Amino acid sequence: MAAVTLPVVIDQLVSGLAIGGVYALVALGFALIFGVLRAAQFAHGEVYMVVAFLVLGVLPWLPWSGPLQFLLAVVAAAVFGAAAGVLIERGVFRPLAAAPHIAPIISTIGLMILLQNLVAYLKGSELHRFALAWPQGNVALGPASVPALKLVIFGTALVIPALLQVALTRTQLGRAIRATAIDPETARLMGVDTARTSAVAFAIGSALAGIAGVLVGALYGVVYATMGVSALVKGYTATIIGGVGNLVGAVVGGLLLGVFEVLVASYVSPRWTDSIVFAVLIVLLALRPHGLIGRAIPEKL
Amino acid sequence: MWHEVNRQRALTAAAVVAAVAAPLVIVDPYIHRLMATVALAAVLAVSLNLVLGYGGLLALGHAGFYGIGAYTAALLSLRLGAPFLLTAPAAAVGAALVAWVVARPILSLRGHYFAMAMLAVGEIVVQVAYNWDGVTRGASGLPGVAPPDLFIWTATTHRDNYYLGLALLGLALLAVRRFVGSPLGLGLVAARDDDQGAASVGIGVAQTRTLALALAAGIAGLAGALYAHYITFVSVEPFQLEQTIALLAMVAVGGLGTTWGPVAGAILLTLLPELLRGLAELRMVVYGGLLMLVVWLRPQGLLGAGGLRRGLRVPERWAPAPRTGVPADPAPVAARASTPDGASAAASAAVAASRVAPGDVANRASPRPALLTAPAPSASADAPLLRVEHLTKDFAGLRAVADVSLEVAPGEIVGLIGPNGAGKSTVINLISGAHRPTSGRIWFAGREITHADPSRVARAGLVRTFQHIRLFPSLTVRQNVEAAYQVRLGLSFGAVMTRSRRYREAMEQMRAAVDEALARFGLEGVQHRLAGTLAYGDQRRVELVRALATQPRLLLLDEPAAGMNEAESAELARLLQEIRQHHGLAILLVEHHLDVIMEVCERLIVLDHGTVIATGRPEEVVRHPEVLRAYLGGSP
Repeated sequence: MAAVTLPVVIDQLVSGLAIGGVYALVALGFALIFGVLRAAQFAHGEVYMVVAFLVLGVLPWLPWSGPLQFLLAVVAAAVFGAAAGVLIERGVFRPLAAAPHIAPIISTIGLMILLQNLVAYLKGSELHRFALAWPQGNVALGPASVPALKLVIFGTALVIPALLQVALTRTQLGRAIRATAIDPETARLMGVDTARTSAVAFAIGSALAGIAGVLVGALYGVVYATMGVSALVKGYTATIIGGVGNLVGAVVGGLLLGVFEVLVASYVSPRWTDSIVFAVLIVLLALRPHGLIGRAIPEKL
Repeated sequence: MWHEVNRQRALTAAAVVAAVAAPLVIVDPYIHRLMATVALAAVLAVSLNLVLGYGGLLALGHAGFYGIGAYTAALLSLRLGAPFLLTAPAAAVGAALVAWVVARPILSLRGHYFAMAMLAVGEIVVQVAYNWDGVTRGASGLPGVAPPDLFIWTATTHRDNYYLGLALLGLALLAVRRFVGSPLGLGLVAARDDDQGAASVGIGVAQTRTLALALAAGIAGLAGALYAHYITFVSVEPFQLEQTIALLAMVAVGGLGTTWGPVAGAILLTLLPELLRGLAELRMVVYGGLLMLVVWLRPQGLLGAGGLRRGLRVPERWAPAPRTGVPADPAPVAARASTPDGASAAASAAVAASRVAPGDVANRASPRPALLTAPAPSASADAPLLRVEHLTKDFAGLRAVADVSLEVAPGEIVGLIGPNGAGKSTVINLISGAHRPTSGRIWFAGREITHADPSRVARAGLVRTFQHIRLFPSLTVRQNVEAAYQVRLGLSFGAVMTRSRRYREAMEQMRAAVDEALARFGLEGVQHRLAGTLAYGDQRRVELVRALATQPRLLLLDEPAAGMNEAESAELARLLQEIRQHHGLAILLVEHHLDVIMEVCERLIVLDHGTVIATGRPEEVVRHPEVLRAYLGGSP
């Protein structure tokens, strides 16, 4: 059990915020896709996994080391993720637009199984080392000395949602996405090209998953074929904590989840962390049925 | 129709014979093992279909209940040496109990919040099994569970266990069919279609869902017990999220909300990886791709009926009652003669009069058929039926209703009018329990209902309709009415599952009463059509009949004439007067059509900006200067 001293607590918090930042990006992407398409993307975690492997593959070709390599890895992840997102939207969701609600969900389950096993077939199911040249070493943070990597990950997980927020509120396309999320029918009547906004939302959401995949690879130093499953569960959990349809909530939910997990693992029991997190979640849902941050919107009757 | 039924029976019989005979013809134990695996998967898929298909609940923790059953049975067998015949029921009860306890607080959750909570339950089961070394031996698992011992016979071979699995599958199919084909099942599907609409007619949405979930969990627990005794070893792998996801795929691929779909899905998706064994490591890649292909080719599932956009259908369980002869029941004979308009339906309707909702004993003397009878006025007849005091509702800074007080006397028709945005619908929503008031109190029939939930308010006799029609679109017209009517029958789970005498009598009563009501409102011709496919005016009528089926003492009608033309609204006015004449119930009517209001209302309450600005007789109120100002504007 970890000691309760200030340096240790700071270290724990930073660890929690780093992994929480990864959850936040996964959750934000999941929530964005869910908001616009009204369907759970079960292969969201596989996008995260596949992109991490793709970036691992291109890493040796990146000409720089240092911050620029990190930046390029993130950009590459976003590009790969966005491409995967467009493919999935076109290939899976659009053909099933008129199908019963469950159909795209099951189709993404098929995709999830396909991608997991394809990567395991091509690359093997063992752990693959994943390392970025930057950031290395520790930085002083008050009385504690914390890995720079974790701070950078946390920072990335704050900057990207902030940029997204600006894009969603300040641009025409962003407003179209928000309008589609609120009411696709009306958005269409108002001249929004909802097919295009769906594709864009899917691209952005999947890019976020891709970035998260690279960040988690850097954080833990490994990637593997089945890493997407837990990402899906954590991202889903964070989305629920924040309240479905609430993008800010998804980010806050991810960060809260990460910090809570690390604190429980350090001060209660690493072995029972998941059980405790889920038990707390059930109690929380019973008390606040629309998430910790989400607010109940009275339904128009 | 008759041929269709026979064809289905023949198919079912052929399937059963094939399932029983196959392992006798094929002697390969590898095939027997596969068949046993398929049977277990089918049991799980059938049970998941109850909550997912009929209940519309994304139960992402179903494999957890399977695990609870398996561990319960394994531990009882290893620790106490209990035989399968004891561990199996214990496993079922254990899983059902956990489902019951966990479900109550979370079943009011909607959509993905519920799915998350169930996923959390499943994950906790896996984590506990994995980490509680002292009991479950964690990752190393529990070996040495005794094979299924039925005292006179012990299942030792794969084939024996396949037969046990088959028997369990039969049991699961029967249990799910009985539940779904009962009024409880109607309530479950109604809540899936529209939970607010279901609550508005008094269906206990959470209670019904809890029952369905507990039943499904119990079946999964039973499957878990068989698994434990069959494999003789239990560890955590088969109960993880991946298993639940595989089950979801089986149910959806086979056809959500169909009887045999989950079985077909279980067969296909269990055998597919085996058929692909030649592909070695690529087989799961191809499997994933084929799963996507199947969904793309048949999004509604292999056995799913209807076109792409079609909702789920519950087959009609009750054919129209045979009109020859009145079912033997001595009580209602007296009722027959005095039915108000002694119509053709009197005979069957009379049966209905014999049983009235519990608590309405005073009403027994009433000469009218049950569906059309309002409970007798309470002893203090001049006391108001509905009393609202100082009701206020704020929506995020907007005061929609401000200090509204009003009363409705028994048997009175009161109009609630006012310009758009005056707060009329909000008042209805507050009274019916759909929204919680910020302050103020509401009494109905002498009891305070300020914070009661909508289904309880409805069961107390205060029933509403909606501004936008909220029928149950995947149920037929008849089933819509039955879903509301069955609430008062108060059938127990036991009665439903055993099809007891009381259950069969209640069904007779319901059939007769609903026949009568449909005939009365001219809906018998469309009674077997899906409610969502009717013309607008007919949907409005179905909604009225559905509300009346709950035997209300006060109806809250929220703009029943919205979107109607002159002829239709005139017809509605006639209908409302008839209802009132024959039913003696009170009505609080929100309406914009002034002709309807003037024709049927005895008293008007005028709202503007959330406050009552006038009240009185219609012809007085419409000349009231405040009212004119509210509607027409102008300076004070």
